[in-house]
Amino acid sequence: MNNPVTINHLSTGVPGLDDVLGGGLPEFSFNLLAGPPGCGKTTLAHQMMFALATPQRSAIYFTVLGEPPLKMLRYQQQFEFFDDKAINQTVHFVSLSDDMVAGGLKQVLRRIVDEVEGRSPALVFVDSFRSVMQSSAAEGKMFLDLQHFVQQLGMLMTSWQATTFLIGEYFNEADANPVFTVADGLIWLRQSVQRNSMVRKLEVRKMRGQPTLPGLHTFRIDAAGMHVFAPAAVPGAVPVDFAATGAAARLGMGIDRLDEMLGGGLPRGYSMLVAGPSGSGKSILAAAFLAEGARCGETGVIAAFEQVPSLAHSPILAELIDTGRVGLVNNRAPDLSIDEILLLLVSEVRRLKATRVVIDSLSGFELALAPTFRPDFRENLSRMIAALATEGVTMLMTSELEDRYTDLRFSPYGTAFMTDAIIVQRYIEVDSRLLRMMAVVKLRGSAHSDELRLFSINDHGIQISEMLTDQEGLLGGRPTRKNPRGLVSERVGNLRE
Amino acid sequence: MESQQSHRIVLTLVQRASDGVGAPELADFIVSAWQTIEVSLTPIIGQSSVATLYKRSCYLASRKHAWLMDIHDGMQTTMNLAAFKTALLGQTSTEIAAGAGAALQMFYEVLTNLVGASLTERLLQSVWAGLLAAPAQDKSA
Repeated sequence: MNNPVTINHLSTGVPGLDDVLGGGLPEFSFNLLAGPPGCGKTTLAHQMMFALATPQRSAIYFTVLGEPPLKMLRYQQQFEFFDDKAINQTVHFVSLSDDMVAGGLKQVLRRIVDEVEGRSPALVFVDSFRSVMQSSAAEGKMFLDLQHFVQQLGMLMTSWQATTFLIGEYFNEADANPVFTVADGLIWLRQSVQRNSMVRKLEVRKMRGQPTLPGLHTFRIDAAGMHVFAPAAVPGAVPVDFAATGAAARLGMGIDRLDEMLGGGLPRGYSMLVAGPSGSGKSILAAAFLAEGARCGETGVIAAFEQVPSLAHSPILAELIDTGRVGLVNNRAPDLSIDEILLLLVSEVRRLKATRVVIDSLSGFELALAPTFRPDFRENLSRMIAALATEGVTMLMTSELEDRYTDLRFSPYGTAFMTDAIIVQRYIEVDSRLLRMMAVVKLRGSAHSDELRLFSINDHGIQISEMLTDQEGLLGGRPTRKNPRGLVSERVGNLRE
Repeated sequence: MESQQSHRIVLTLVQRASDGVGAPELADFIVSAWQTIEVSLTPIIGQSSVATLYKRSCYLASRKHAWLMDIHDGMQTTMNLAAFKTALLGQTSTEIAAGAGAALQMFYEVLTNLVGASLTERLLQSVWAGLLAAPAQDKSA
């Protein structure tokens, strides 16, 4: 009977990386951490080492010719994961620079073997590897020497049951490099530069026997170290069965008459787009949505990309945030990725067990993203909406929409189809006044009002009033008073004939 | 707090000198301290880094103890402790204690500046343990 070996998986200690790797690092694997200078290889190696090393599972960090060890220790200790109590206990640094100068690859290999035999580490790091390659190239027999070295090292380390990491700078990933073949795992780090923005990305090019998450995953390095933003898994977008939870099927919007226009409120789990020109009252509508949730004992999360919502114009929202009934995701870090925002949103939603999520606004959100993500904004947004839907939240997104009186558009992104409900707001001119009107243009699977309603904004928020039945051509922005003799009905009458 | 510890090195050596420990014994003791430093640090930061830090420490200490200047001429990739010992033996016990103590203190401080107090403490644990504990015991014996 086939009885396959059980491969243990090590948790890397880098948030998000285990998910991208498809469940952690296989024990005894031989891995390559590659990328250009400054992309975070040494940081990644140190972070994993300090997370993985224990008295039973010690680590050796060999430095060859790359960064001088003294400097490496100086800079790496700035990270929170650096634990100097571990040094010379569970973590051992070994400099091989003198061996490299004295005896080249052969002596380096011999020293590595000596140290590994002497200490029996479970984790071995060799930093950096490009220096090894270059120096062997200088010897004029790069491939033979290097291939031999890497194969020997790979074999020895696996036999000694050490999970091994070679850290190397490779500028040309298309190179048929022997190291790539020998390695079980290949983690590539990049810095993607577009215009003035730099985004760090990680790719697991290879990890034997593991369902890794393909593609480029953004990561950030801060005082805590590296943080990979693994994409949220959307398992077939299983709709949440709200009937089973016993919660109300429809959510109140917190604005008089709006629930009525929506046929009784916004169905739970729906995503709604509120589109309108600048200043039309989208953010106020969004705040009312969250306040109504709080009134019903629900919690919410707002991702604010416009003004900071604690400002005077939304004291209700500010209070909800202060009292912890609404979580605020207000990341002003430059060069954001959708995955990073999504991760922040999802963790806030889970922390607060939130049922309502507001994104104010999509326009601000797009601007907050690094330029490299903007061409794929629609795809990413669609993924984000799907991911949030699996969290069971009801979502309201605002979108700035330039008033165009020649056509009827609901969103500048072609995002209208992604959402279940759309409310559109517009300015109109009546009797030399700028008035606002609002309509429900879409509510999937539900009857809703088709009325264009006037609304105004006062100290109590949005006040919806009547239709302007005596005007026509509202969507053109400059309605005209209907013919008092009832021209319209006459025309309808003619059509019928 | 850490600089207090490095200051204790100087005090310990000065104490030993004033207790009448002879120049050869004091020189041996100091050389063995540097040997411990070399053994502790070379595997981690490499031989030439240790030699460079040693040279830098002697240079800094030579501002007050000019004789330390003479021993580190030219480029060094290893610590030449034989030459150091010869230089030590040319001095009185008091000057050995003061000068060599200052060099050790500088080494401690330079390393602290580079990698921080707690890591320095950890890396040089065995060195200071020997330096600060042994003399008192020797004396009482």
